[in-house]
Amino acid sequence: MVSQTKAIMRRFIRARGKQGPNPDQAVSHWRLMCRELKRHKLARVSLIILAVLYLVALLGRFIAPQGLESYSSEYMNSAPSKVRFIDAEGKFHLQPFVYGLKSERDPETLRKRFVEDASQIYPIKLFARGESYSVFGLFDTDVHLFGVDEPGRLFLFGTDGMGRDLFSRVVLGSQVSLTVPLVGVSISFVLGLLIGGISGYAGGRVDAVIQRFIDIVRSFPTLPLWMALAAAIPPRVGVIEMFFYITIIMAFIEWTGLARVVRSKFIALRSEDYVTAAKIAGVSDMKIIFVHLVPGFISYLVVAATLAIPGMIIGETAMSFLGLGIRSPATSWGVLMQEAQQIENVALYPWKLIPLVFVIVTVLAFNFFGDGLRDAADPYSHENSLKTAGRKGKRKWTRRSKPLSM
Amino acid sequence: MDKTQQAAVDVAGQADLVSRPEPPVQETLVLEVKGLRVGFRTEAGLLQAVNGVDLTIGRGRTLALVGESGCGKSVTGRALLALQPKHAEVEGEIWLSPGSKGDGAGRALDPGRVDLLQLRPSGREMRAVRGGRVSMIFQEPMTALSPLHTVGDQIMENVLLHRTRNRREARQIALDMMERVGIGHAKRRLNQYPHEFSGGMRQRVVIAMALSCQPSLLIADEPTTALDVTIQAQVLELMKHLQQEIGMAILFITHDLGVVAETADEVAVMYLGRIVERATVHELFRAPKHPYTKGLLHSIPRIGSTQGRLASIQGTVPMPLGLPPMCGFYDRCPERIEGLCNRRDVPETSLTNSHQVRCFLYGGDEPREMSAEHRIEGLNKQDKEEEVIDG
Amino acid sequence: MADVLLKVENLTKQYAGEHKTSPIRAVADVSFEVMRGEVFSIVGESGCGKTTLGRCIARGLEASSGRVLYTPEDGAAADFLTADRASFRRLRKDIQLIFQDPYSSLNPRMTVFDIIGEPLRANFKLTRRELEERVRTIAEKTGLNPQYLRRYPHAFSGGQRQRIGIARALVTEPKLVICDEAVSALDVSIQAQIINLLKDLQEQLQMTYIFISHDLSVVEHLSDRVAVMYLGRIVELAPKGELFARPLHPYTESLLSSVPVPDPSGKRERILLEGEVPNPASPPAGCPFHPRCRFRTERCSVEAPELRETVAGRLAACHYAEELELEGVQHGVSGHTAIG
Repeated sequence: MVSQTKAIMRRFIRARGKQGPNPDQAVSHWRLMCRELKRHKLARVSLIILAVLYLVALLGRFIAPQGLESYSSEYMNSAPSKVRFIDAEGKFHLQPFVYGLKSERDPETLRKRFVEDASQIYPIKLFARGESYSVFGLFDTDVHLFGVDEPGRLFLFGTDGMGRDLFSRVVLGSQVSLTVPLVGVSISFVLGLLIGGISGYAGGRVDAVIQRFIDIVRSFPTLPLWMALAAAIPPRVGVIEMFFYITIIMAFIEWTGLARVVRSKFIALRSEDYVTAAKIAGVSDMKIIFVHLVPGFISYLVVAATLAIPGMIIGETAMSFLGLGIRSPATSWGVLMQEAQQIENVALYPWKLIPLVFVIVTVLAFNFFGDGLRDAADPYSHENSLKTAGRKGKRKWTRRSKPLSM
Repeated sequence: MDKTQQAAVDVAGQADLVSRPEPPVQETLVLEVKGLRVGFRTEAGLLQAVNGVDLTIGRGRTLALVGESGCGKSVTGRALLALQPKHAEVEGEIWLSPGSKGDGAGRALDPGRVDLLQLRPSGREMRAVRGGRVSMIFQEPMTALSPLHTVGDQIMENVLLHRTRNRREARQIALDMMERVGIGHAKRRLNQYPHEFSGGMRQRVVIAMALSCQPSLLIADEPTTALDVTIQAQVLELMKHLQQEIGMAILFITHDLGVVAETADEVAVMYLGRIVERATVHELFRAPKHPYTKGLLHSIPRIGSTQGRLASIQGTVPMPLGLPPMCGFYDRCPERIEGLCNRRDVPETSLTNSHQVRCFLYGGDEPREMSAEHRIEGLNKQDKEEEVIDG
Repeated sequence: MADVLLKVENLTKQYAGEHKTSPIRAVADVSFEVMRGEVFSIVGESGCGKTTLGRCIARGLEASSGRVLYTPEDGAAADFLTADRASFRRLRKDIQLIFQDPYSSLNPRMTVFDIIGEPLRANFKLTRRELEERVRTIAEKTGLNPQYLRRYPHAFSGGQRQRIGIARALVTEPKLVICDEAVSALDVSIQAQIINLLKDLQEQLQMTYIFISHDLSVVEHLSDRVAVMYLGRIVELAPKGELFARPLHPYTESLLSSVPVPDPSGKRERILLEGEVPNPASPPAGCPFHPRCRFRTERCSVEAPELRETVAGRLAACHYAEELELEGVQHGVSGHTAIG
């Protein structure tokens, strides 16, 4: 039933074409895809979130007040600083400020804790001077996005057990956590395109061998596989190498899914009439692949890749969490979560779970964005091109089949 | 409470109709559609798929609804059984008269003459109508059959819903139906699944299902379009035969004029959501009036005739979006009268009792002389396409 | 006229059967000749192998065995299927195909200009200007507005898309065009436009058509000679007039009898076929048509009839072709629908 009602609609869409081409319909596939994507609210919001996250990662050292190495032993396990506008005397400050901190012992538990010292006011300054760092290895600077003057302290997300600023570590950790999946997916994208393409194009025995190999790779339980692979990594490697190794491990598992997408699309498209037409027209095989086949599924592959990213983020986090990935003092969100894994942290220092929020937000944002891409990838589908305004403009063309009593 | 009220309304409606000085033909009508309009709200505006359609089908008669894709013929067929998509806007009246066999098997609950549009689309009454009093068959038989159930179960399901509650009896009816639609070894095939049937056999199964409750109206939406000619001939023959046996009326929706000529008693030609011409099949094929009908009949190649060149209708069907009140065929019409056909809505003109046409060439509200004058003008504009009047 | 353009010899296309069943022969040992300048039609029901045959000839599909001898105007006949690279490059542009489905046969991601220009780019070395010139010319010839060439196919209606497909097939000025159900997917009024267009272009460009269709009325309207296919084989081949007037094969007869005639007064007795087309994976022994044939004898189920010349210039694959008195379509009966 659904297919039939859709068929009716399709007819109308075709009928719409019958009016003759009108100028705004002469747009390419990618343009149509962008147009559709813009309509997808959730995807739009997600894209903005992702853009902000990546911008922060890119400007990590500028935004983070503290570097990876620095710590302040006198401020261990400090709660997030309270950013204030109104001081103890009720006076309003245009510039936000924090109070100084002094440590004292809880008279009952004898635990060390920090209380605000209302007598010291440290205004938060934009472009404050702080630790010096090098900008992309070009020059050194000590300007940070914000900061407070010494000896004031600003811990937006509190500090960890070694007195390191958690905000800085989340920002710096995002550099690893957000780029590993990107690089990993890029590698698996190429691998998948290549191997999936060969599998789909060659067919026959080659296809069978590649498919069985993929089956084997996919049947590995990921956790032991990670552990085995991680064990193969030399124990004392630098952050960069470690990063490299993790990416390879992730990509090694991920490419199989993409290769499957490529292969099935390849096979589906190969039997399309327009491919046969190109063949009869005398177009060479290579040209057919790159002119007709690849553009036909590249959008689907982009979607598949986007939807693979959250898995990689989780994977990297999981590896670091298990202590298999990046190790302190270098950091990633997984490392931060590993550091927060003791029960006492959850009970006494709940701010240490903030990195988890970032993982969740990022994964969701990628998922929503991928969903939007997927919906947009097929701009010719009737659902998209003929969304009915319906009541409150919300109802889509998604009628469920109604049992026809006959 | 509600039901009695409804019944009262029904009776009132009936009384109202009876009191009108209508010819006695009225009594044998199975279906009477008045001013049916179906619209879809789209981003581009209201898409008026069906724009004021009037139809009547007499008992045991076949009305063919013909038109090209996008003319609204399928939407009309679906709207009759409230099978249109949820967001569609349907207006008009769809009167269904009681079936021929008021006493018939298990049809104790025949509620008399009802306006189907007043029923809730998926309410109990509507469900009783669907598959019971009115059945529908589609172009693609596989979509009407569940691949997970045996053919016998699927026919029986309908019988159990509408005719009897006794399984054994239902099975007997299903067997009987399968034999009647010409499926050999019915006993064995009853337990087979749809994929074990060929395309033509599947369509037979669908017909068996549709007719198992002896409906008074069968809506057949392109039932043979997906079939090969030899199979099509079999199925058409079968439908004709069963119609004589059961006495149901058929609304035959098709684009194939050959099939129309073979099956229909009356024909309604649809264009852009409206019926532009309605006549008995003989009248229509012998003396078509509307320029569109003429164009259609000219443009089909015929075996055995010595046409040199087919006369074709220029241009394509426009989209039924935001149509001004004018003749929908104006842009393609070789006989159009400028200043008239593109200015106002075309009313329907009755040429004879059984032949109506919606075209200013045959009257309308314009003075005759004037339209004749315009007509010559229009004829001069006619394309150089030869008028091929058979060979 | 008696100039053979294409000679198909014992063309066979097999598909491996599933689950170790015997291979399916979609096209079984088909031979025929196509004359220069004629319209040669192949008719049959779905699954009879006519589309496969057309694609094998155009090398859209690789045939399993057989030869397709093509004779260019100025040269000797060469096997189109096994031609070496160099000569195939020369011949390629001469044989083109028009597809049935105007939707799936055009790449939605290419502009109309690129679609029509593709065969030119693949076969000729042309400057941008020459390419544009030739695409423009063929677009005008096929009734496409050259202003719309930068649009994508989805902006066009079915009829216009079919014109694009025709333009693509004809842009290399082929000698032989295979029209694979080229008008079947179109509405009646559009179908007439395209049929007229195909006829006009044939005259203008002096092409030969192999017209593949299931629609006998269209075939009768267009063709010079007709081959009827059943289960991968040609069962009858004859000039159009003779075939329609007096078929020699019982299958042709029932096919003709099944066509609905658009004339309500011309009702006639129909010869209804029993049953349906057998599964090509296990064709019946003997004559493939015998289980549905009303004239079948013992011999038919044992001995497969060969396609032989029964009457001068006519071929039929039936043991009793000479004896049977089969009914065709009488001229005039169905044509009379005085309109006016």
